[in-house]
Amino acid sequence: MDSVKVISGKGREVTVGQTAVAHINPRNCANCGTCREVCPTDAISEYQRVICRICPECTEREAMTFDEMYEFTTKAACTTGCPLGISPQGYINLVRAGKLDEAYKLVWDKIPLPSVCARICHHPCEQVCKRGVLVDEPIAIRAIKRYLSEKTTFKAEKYPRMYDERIAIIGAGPAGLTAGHYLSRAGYEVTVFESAAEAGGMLKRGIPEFRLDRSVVDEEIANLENAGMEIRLNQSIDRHSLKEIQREYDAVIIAAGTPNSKELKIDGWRMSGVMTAMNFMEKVNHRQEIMTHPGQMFDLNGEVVVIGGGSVAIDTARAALRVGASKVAAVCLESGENVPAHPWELKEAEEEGVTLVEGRSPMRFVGKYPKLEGLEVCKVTSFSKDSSGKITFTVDKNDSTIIKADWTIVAIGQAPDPMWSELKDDNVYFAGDISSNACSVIDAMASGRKAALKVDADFRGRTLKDPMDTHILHSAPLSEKVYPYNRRKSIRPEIPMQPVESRIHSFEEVEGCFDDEDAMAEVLRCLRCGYNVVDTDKCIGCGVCQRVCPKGDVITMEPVAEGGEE
Amino acid sequence: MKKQVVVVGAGPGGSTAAFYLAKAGVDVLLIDRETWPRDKVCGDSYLPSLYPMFEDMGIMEEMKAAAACNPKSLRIIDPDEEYAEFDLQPWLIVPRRIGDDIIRRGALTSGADFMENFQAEELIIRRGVVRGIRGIHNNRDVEVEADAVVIADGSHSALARQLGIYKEDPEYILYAGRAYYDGVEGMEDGRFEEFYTPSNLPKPTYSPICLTWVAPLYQGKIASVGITIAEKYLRETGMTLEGLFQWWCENTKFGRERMHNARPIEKLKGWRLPGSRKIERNYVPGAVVIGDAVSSAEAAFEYGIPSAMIGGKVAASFLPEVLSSGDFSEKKFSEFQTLVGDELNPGLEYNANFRDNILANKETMKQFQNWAKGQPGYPHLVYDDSVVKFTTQVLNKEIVKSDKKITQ
Repeated sequence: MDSVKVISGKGREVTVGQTAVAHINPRNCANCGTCREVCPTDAISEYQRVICRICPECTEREAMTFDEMYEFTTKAACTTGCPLGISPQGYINLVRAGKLDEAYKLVWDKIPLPSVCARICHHPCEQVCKRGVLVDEPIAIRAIKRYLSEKTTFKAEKYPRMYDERIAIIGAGPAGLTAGHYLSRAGYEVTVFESAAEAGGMLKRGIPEFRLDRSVVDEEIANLENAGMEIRLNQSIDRHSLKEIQREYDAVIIAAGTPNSKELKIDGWRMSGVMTAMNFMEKVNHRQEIMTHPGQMFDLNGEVVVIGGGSVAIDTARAALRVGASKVAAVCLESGENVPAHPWELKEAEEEGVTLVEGRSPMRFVGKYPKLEGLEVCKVTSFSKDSSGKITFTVDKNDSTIIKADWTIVAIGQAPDPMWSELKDDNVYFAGDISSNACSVIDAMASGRKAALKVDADFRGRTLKDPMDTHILHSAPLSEKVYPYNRRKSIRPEIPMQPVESRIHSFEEVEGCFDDEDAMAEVLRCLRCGYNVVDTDKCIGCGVCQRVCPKGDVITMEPVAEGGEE
Repeated sequence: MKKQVVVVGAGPGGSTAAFYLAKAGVDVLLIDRETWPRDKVCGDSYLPSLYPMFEDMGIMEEMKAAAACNPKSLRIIDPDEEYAEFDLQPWLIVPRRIGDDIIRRGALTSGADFMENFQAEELIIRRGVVRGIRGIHNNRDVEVEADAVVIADGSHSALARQLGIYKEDPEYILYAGRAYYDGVEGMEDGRFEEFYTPSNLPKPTYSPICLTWVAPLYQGKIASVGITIAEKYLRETGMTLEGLFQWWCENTKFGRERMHNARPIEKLKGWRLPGSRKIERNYVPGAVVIGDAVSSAEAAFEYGIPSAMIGGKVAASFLPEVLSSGDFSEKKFSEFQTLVGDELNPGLEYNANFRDNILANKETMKQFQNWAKGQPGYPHLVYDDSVVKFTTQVLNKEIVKSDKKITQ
């Protein structure tokens, strides 16, 4: 009988007899990574197949040299593209195999809000999808996730409580909810404190309804509560109450986000038509002038200029159209590829009639106080952004124009509440926008996940072991090479969109969902670049991988012959 | 769906198998992933050894009429751009898009069923015996049960890969590119030109197979121009296939002469050409593999189509016997390897010897050319005879030109 040396958690070396080894069938493996993450001896690793790109005109992308091609294999893959470590190849191929519930479960294990991500994630996985880089168009990964989320009715089961520690999380936005999800799944008691009357954070306050239906967020949050997380609403936390929470709970994760829009304090900023993005979105979301004129509908009329070129700016511009603006322009310092909003956002906004004024810097608000009449902008002559996100630019003051505006919305970034920055206690952790410069929903969730892993590691006295950090891509043998020629040439189906004429008058979701036929056609396009391999020298034959495999027809346990390998 | 035999791939090999099987009264389904007619990167040559099969299918006249050229001489240009010329038995150059479609249509006249846009993804194997195929037809999963399967799905064969009999030898797998050009200069009607690896490459390498070819089509109005190089040597050049081709057009004497006014009619298209020296395992119980799927040819010598079609014909005579005897054993199917080997090995061996003894280095190649030029009757020497004579007389090596050869 063979034996395997295993290093235990406490650093001791243990020898285990090997009676069986797991075998993964590469043809059937969906590369979901479930087995890899549960394997107690890290015997499973991901292999990426070489995608042949030698012949010109075989695909729509340029051919490569052999060296480039082999190097490319392990550079990136959808499985390493997701900041939360979800395996798109995994759920796409589970959909292909007809296992929708397992596919949804795979996503839910990694993110508490799959249906939200299915709508608003900026899909970094699609940017690295090898089909997109090497063949034609990337797999519509987010659209498949959307299809999944509409096709399955997932009810979370309550997670068992494993540990005594209680954890408080400040803020029920994407970061806080993700941290809570990971911790309650690990067996901790989690309480989330939310200052607003409803949970969701920026998902509800920042992202407009035409991109993310509110009922979707509510359903997802309900699922999280079912799984064991407690959410307390209307809990505004100040220094005093925080002290109390710190005393009562074993750890506090601050995921309070960046609720305040930065002001643009140039001449005329106090005029009545100047709003910040948050201020504006608040009114849009309630469609009512709550503060100033209770009961009166909030309407914009006339021309609107949005200052900023990021996702928030584009969202507010599109929202402004929907609440009655006759003309909307977005002014940003950047131009061309530097514009921070994603290309598809810009495209959708443009279709709806938003004009983007690139390479202009706002100089002053023009008008006769308090009535705003326009915005003076100057040409940006040079622009640069360093790695920390700090922007330096110069303007040509002689080249200025005035854009007519009845309203301007300032969307130049968000800021956290300053009270949190002073906190430095041992049992306080930070997550989400408050802790980093990255401000997408998926990045916030990723940082919530990191914080949760850290809390768990600290409490359990483990070294922080994140499966994502140890996830290395290996190069598969040539016999596994993928010839794009063998994969059917098929066009990526169009994601259904509401027609422009109707969508600019309503807050209904713009993006629709694939029907069964399109979804099936789309999952068939996956090249299935990756698969998992068991290192037989490390496998102890425990069979856990076989039990957790969501596909079922992938892993077999093969007995090891007496007297070792042949 | 249930059929007696499924033939996967409707190229010349698969079509031939389907033709002779249906002719023998077998219920055959021929499937193909493409929408026909389809193009293929190739030198477009249909050699005289195929004519008897064309006669059987009743397409000989059509093939002749479709010929874009009837080459009868070959010019071999060596790395220093010196050349020698030889006579050949005339053959047909028909663009594959047209020629393969004529064969497929001819094959269907004997009664085989045909489905296109049908991609076979995997073999159904039960107890070690192939029992059919699974695939996708118009975005739908389809299964076809069959008593036997003929695997003829070509160079990128997914099915041969499933069986583990697919080859990836970097020295024998060639990558090729082909484009049709207008305005190629210096060609002569009926003369096929093969250019060997130039000695002035930036990163020198030497591939024993001709690097580029130029063939005049339609009285030289257009030209079929292509490049072939084995994976190993292409890697050594550090260039892309297209880059290497461009380099040849711009940096060799002949390349410049032929191509300086040339305009592409379509872009350079690439393809994988598998090659081998000997027929190896080409069966599993319940299935036989023919053509490029088992690398049954030395493709760069223009013998890909004959070896695929001969493989198809052998399969069609072998399978009816299996079906009636009901013997699906490993032993029975291993006979197929012997049968195909008997047909194809002599030709492969001849090519391998030619490659090793003459083409594999610049000196012997030059020696061969000089020898040929000194022979009485030059340039009207018969190519194959010259190769045999040269190796036996000058190199003192035995190179057998068998009767069963698939060369001309």
